[in-house]
Amino acid sequence: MRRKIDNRSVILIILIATFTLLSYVFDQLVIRNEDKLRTQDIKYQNLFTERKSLESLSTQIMNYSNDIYMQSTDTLENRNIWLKQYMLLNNKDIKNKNFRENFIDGYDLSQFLKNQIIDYFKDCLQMSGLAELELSDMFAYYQRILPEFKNWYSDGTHYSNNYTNWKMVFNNNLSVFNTKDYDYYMKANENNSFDSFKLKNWFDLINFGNLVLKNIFDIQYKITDDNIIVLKKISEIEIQMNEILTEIKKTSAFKNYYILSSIFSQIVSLLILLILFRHLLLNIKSRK
Amino acid sequence: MRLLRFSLLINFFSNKKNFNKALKLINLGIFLSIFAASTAIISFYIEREINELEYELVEYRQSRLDASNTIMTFDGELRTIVRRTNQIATRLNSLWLLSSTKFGQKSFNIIDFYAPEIFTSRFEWEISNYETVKSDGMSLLTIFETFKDDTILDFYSVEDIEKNKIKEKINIAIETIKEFEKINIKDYEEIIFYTNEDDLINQIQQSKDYSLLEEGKIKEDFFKTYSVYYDLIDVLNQIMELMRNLEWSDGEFIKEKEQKIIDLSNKEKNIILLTFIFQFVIFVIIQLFEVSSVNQGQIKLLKKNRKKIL
Repeated sequence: MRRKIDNRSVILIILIATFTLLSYVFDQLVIRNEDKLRTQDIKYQNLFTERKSLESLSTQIMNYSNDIYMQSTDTLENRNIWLKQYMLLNNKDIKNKNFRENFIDGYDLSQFLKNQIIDYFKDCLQMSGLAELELSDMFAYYQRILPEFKNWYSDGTHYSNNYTNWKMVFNNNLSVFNTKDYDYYMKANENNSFDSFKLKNWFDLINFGNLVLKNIFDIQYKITDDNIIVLKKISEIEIQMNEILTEIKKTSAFKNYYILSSIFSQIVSLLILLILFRHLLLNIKSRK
Repeated sequence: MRLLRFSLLINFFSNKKNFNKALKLINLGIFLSIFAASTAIISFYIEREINELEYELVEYRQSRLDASNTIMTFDGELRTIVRRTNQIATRLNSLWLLSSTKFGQKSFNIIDFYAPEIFTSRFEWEISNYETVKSDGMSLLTIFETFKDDTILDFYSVEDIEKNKIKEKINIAIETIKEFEKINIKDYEEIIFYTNEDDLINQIQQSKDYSLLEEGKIKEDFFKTYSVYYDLIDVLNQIMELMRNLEWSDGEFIKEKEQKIIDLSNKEKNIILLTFIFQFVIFVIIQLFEVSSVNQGQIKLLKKNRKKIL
């Protein structure tokens, strides 16, 4: 004859089933949270790398700007010195006989001074050329690794081209020059033939060099605008990183709670199972 | 498969010898599972506290990292300014020597040296302001002003005496900068980038007036610029000190929180051990009661049987 199961046993069995199910649910939640954590961690690491790259770009822009200021100041200090000496030797109004006595005999002082003026001009062109190269290299690299700055440089119209747009610099300041012919000066520079130059042309050459330097300063505003974009992006990323960090912390806390809850449910289910056994055994004994 | 059937198990336990053994084992199992459940509850509670601490720890670590980055940037800026100031001072000494000769006076003057320095510094200041206004909505002077605020200084744990010193330094710097900002950059732009023959002739003919050693507006503007550098070094050093304070105090907080986490973990271990001992004692007492109740039952049964025999 089959024994009938009592109500208490049924309740205990239902409780065991409930806690076993709960344990399963909590296990599933742990797995889900683990997935969520992994995704959030990947996002966080990506943002961290992007922030580091942007910070590096911003530091490079700052260093670049500091170099520009230092180099320009040093160059600008010497802009008139050779021209003044040349005038002291050659200008009829201020020609000073004693001035030549300051220099070593047998040396072509005029030629030396002309060479110095030419070097000053060449230095200015070189500075702007290097500035373009440095800046374009910097931005071309960063637009490759930072998706936010796609087409930042590669559309071919980037302002760094303006560093070496010497014709534009010359033509925008025509009133400054005595000989208003850009090609005249550039050809002289290319062929290194300055024999036809008169005092007014030497002035033009110095002014041309000065204006190339001024152009470098003018472009600084655009570089600063780019740096502002970078800085704003960094703050955006920092906000996002903080949000993700809070999420990670929450998810991680929940994961721990779910693990503990799952363990707790298993233990309770085991405890009830043992109570059920005990109850069944005592039932058998009482029947005997 | 039949052996696995529940009824077989029940039959196995129905044997009195097996029954007692099984009851003892089940009791032991119940004791262990209650212990495990209480351990889980303790861990749950302590884990919650550790989580909160870890959350705070992440914030402090982030803040410390930010402070370290700011110190690094400030340090770089500061070094650039110091290097530049030293460079100007060294160069100025050599140029003053050159200016004291007739050759030097005619070749090199205030327009050549002071003017580019003033222009570049003024330009750099304008660009920096442009950047901070556009990115933070505040000018550099406004940023300096914020460091005079007591609540900000309290945030950096500055003592009252120190607060006054900082405010004084910032006030001096602000005054110098305001004077410096009055310099018209356009005037210098004109002087530097556009050279004409008449101006140069005038500079050579009036070389004494243009000498680096002579007093005048340009020299005055140059020394305003030079003072700005000095005051900036002072203020930036002070701000860097505040950042270092913040970095240090964050480090101390981190240590404190980490110690708390270690303490909580130790506490968890001890509580679990205590719970085990406590529950084990209760279990032993209950078992003793059960054994004695079984013995009394047996004595009663023996007495009953003896009466029947007699």
